[in-house]
Amino acid sequence: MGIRSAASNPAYRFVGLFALYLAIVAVVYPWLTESWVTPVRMMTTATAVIDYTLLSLVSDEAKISGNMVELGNFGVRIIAECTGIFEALIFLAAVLAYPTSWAKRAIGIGLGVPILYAFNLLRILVLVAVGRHWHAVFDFMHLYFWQATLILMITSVWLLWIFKVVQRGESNTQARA
Amino acid sequence: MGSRTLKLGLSFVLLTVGLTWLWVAWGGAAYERFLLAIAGPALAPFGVTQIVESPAQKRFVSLVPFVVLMWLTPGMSLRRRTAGTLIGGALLVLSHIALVGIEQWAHSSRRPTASPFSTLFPAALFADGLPFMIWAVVAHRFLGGLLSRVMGPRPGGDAAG
Repeated sequence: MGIRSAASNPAYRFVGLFALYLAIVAVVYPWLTESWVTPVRMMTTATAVIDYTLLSLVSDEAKISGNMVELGNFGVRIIAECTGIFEALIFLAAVLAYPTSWAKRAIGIGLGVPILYAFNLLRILVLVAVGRHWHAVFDFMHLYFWQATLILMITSVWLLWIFKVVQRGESNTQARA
Repeated sequence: MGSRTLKLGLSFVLLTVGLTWLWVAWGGAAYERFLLAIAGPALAPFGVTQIVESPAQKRFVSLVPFVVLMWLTPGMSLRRRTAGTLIGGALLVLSHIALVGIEQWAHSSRRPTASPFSTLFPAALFADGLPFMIWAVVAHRFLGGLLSRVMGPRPGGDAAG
């Protein structure tokens, strides 16, 4: 396949743009976080507080100390990676690279990022519960709910956005025409 | 939700759980030995003599979701799945070797940025996104179908292909 025909393939064009946007956010994000440390700290603290609040609804063993969320004698420290920032940045690049209107991209980012964040909160809750009650499977669950499902989660939310927002909008437009 | 989507979702869960279990029990350690065997000389100048627990090492498991995506995406021939898995897997191995080297570089005084994080983050994010990129290239017909449905056939374009 020649370069011109590869460039005319929408899938390859998408991948090229995705790589470009990913490179941009990969360089910009560390610069932003080093310039503005407070928002990152606020995000990790907020994640710890939300997880503690949700845990305390179902258990009186829940405790919080700084960014450390504990359930009984088991605790996890919430760091920047626990806020779902990696997932959000990759998803952002995938949505921006997809050929659709800016309004639909905005819907994708506005709904997709909170969904990924909610998944992340759930992931931490499950990990804390597993660490407290089934410590033997904690390593497996940690790996499974972080790296092993990261790209699948992003892909699922991205495809959901395409099917439910992008294509639905297109089919409505075609039906009216 | 259709039964087909439900079946696909269930297959994703079962395959990721099974493969991650294998990875934790045996695959992860074997993969680290394999990486050192093939890339030891390339990593030695960075000061890497063994794989230690680190953000780079934790990303090795990205082979699992990649394999799952390659084998469960609808509409691909067996040949394409096999070739895509092998070539894509090799690219992921290369990205892991590079990530281990960059991680060591990020913690050395020779790093190009003020903090280790700024050097490591782009490489880590790229490593996280790479399985998705390779999948999108290999499954370009599936993806192209989604894209062309949105964009519509282009005059004189390759919509029929």
